[in-house]
Amino acid sequence: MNDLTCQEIDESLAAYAVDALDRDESVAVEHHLAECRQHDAELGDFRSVTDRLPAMLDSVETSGRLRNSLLDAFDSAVGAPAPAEPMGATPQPPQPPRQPKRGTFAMPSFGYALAAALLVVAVGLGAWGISRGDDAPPGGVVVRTIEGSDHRVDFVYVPERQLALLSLELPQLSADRAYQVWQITDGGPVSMGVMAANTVTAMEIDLSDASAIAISIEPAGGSTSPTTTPILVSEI
Amino acid sequence: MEEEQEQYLVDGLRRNDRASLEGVYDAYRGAAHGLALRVLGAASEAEDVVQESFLALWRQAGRLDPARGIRSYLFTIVHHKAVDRLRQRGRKGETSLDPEMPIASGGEGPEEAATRADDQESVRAALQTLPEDQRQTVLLTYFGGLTINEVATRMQVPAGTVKSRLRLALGRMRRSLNESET
Ligand SMILES: [Zn+2]
Repeated sequence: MNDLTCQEIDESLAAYAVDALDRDESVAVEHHLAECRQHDAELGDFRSVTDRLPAMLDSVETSGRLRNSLLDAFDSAVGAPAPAEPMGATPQPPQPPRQPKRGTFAMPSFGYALAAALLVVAVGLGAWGISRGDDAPPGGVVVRTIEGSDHRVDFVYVPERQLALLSLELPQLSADRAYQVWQITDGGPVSMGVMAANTVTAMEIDLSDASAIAISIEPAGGSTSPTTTPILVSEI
Repeated sequence: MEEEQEQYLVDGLRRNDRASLEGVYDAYRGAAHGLALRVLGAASEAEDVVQESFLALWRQAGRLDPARGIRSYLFTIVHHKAVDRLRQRGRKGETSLDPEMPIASGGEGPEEAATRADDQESVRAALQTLPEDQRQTVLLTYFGGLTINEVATRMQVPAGTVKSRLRLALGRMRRSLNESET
């Protein structure tokens, strides 16, 4: 499958730029790109967009262990003979290591539910992908939006998958304070985590005992139970 | 990061300078981790991808064009590796997000955070200019890690339609992002 025409490349280039091609097709595109410079400009244009998509996401702290592990790997690689990562033409992403071909996917799967629900939250579109009859998981899906002049919170919960998504657009807090999200159960509030003012968060969590979710302002590290009156409460 | 500083770090990586790798890591680890985590949804796998990606960036430093920027190369690598892992894993969701995981904190300095907030606004605005089907296609493929065929099945359209939606979407977003910068 290494004889794609330039026109076929044009059609697939955007999909290639977001890593959405199946492996065979992706490899075929890479082979073509390694030998044909006609697509460099357009690929560069697409990459100028995809490079910025991660700005939609929050930065996530890494562990100190990761730092040590990276530096250890670096040290042992530097000590070893010259490293080389096999790849095609310069502007292309690294060639993936050879792997067994994957089979067909069992769908719908967790990955899709996550993506579909993320979609709903990320752009506040309502219940696309969930309200559609063919995708609707049994057991229903909870969708809540709390909106005000300076805030918007979208909450989606898929009971069948115990998957919750929260999109927060809240006023910024000083560095010593943070938003903490709680599920309200018969036994009292249980923390769902500390979150930044503007963030989209996915979590696998069982909310079957929760009657509501609430958000309170807490000290930066979070509290074991709310120390202030919740600023928002939404019944599930 | 200043272009001069980027050039300095790229030069350092090419010389196998450990401190330069640390500099690059400190500048971008939070953003790289955020991206890997979003695609994979699993903390341990995401950290593996982050480590592999920084090592790959170092190995490619000789071919890296500083004009494109370290961030750009790094995100391309991280995304590629994260999607690759997602597909290897077969999307069974064996691992998942730890609800107690601190999801959004640190990993970047105030300057970096401010730049990202601006950037976030432009990207959000660019996404909003897209018709709904195109926006869905971008989000499902890039953030959801779905393939063209998977999106086609879900949206009940031919694969060719998904490809052309992506192409139109990225073209339109590019124009929108360019405009917001002038
Ligand atoms: Zn060509």
